[in-house]
Amino acid sequence: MDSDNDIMPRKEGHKRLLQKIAKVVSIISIFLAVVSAIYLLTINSEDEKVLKASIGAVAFFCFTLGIVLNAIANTNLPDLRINKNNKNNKTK
Amino acid sequence: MNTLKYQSQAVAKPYFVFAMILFAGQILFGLLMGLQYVVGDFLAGPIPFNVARMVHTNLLIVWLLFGFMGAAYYLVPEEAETELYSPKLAIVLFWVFAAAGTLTILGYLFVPYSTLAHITGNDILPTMGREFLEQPTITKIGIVLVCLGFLFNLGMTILKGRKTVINLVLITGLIGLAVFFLFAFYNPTNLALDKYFWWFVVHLWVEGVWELIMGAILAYVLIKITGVDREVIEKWLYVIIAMALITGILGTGHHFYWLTTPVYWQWVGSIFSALEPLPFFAMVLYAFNMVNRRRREHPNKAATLWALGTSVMAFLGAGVWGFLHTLAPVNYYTHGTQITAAHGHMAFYGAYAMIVMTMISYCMPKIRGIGEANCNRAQVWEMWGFWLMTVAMVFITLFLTGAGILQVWLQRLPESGEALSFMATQDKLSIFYWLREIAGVFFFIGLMAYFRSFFIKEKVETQT
Repeated sequence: MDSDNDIMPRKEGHKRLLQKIAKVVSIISIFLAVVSAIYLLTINSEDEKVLKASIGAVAFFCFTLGIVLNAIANTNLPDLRINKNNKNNKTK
Repeated sequence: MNTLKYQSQAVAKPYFVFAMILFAGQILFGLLMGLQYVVGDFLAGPIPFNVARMVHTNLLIVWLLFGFMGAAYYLVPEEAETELYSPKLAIVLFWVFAAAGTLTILGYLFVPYSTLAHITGNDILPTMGREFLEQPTITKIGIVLVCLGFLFNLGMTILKGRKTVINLVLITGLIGLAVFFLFAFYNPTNLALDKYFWWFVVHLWVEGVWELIMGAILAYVLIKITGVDREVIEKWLYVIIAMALITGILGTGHHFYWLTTPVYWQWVGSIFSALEPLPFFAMVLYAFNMVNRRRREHPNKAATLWALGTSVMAFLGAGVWGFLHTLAPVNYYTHGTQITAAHGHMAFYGAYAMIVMTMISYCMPKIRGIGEANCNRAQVWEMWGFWLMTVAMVFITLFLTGAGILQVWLQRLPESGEALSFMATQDKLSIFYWLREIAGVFFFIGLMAYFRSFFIKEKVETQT
């Protein structure tokens, strides 16, 4: 560890509202990614290159967004709120 | 009170302060330009749109360079466990770069560009007149000299000290930054060839070597604020920089689609640039994973917020918004529209502006002798600054994306006889430009809140 005044983190079981929202949106994103990928597989026409690329982009967007939001939702985030009783920033 | 591990780390301070001054200038010129989009003759005499744009983009580049340099001067001695090779050289180079940068911006504002080219000897070695590389040749030579001195100073520090992955990745990125800038001196008369090599500077900076710099700085801050073992973070860093280079170098091809280059660039560019979000994707997972595994609660909550924020915003701006218009069949319609502007704004802010502010947030309290973190009130102001700027940037991006989609719809999709002209289309986009300007004002308010945090002093109890 790089500093002497390390404090072990508190265990915070509960997730914040924004994390809960992130979880729901991540599930929706993954679902949309799957739907877009299936739709992409059904486009066969050579004339539909732009549509293919766009649907591919949507699938990729939704998939990566879903994974990222899921990671954010599952993280035990530190309490970043500052309140008057917070004395964490005492200097040595 | 002295809270620095190595005294020479203090040379980072003037770099950070000057970077922030230039940042404020960049935002002011951005607001001016945003207004000129909708009120075309606003200050158009003294500061025409093309000049405002040049100042806006050049200030961005220069303040980020100052930020990277400050970050490197702070980070390298601590990683190398030795004092900086020559703090005096770092200070001299600061004043040289600051003077050159200031004179260049004043030159843009007060001297007609052609006159500036003439009096700075552009005829001898013509390099001016290209987007982002508008600097007079003499300024470019100055930048090269400053970079050489900077790299010498850091290189000697690393050579005499500990060699860590973070230091080596950082110095690799900075060497790459200097090397690729040399293409700014190559200015062929053939426009296609000119653009081809121009991207060697622009793309290989922001989608290549700058990602190494960002990765190294983020790794350093994460080690400090989470207390996670260095080995774990370094393994992630290896993976991220490998992905950044593999995808970023050949991803340059997405700029070659319409440059009269062979058609295979459409495949190479599409495939590799489609993979370009991966390092940013890994970076956001890595940042949250490290925070999840933290072994300490760092008192500098604002720095933690910036570190997490930069990974998310870089992923969205550089990764997702970049991907949305990078495939050749899509780019055929979206090339050079406001969708590009949307991507550029969020990517630069998320990846590079925020990583510099992450570093400033982490190390300025130490440089200023405050301790590990600013007082609570200062951190509250800083966090307000973070949220206001970040949310404003999200809205700027969304409004520009809306403008871009409408632009494609009106100007690019219809057959040539039915498509609106460029200027007629711009008229139709004015609502988006107004909304973007309002979001820009909020961004500026956020920046002021951020600046305010530096001037708040609160008596901090001292542990006994």
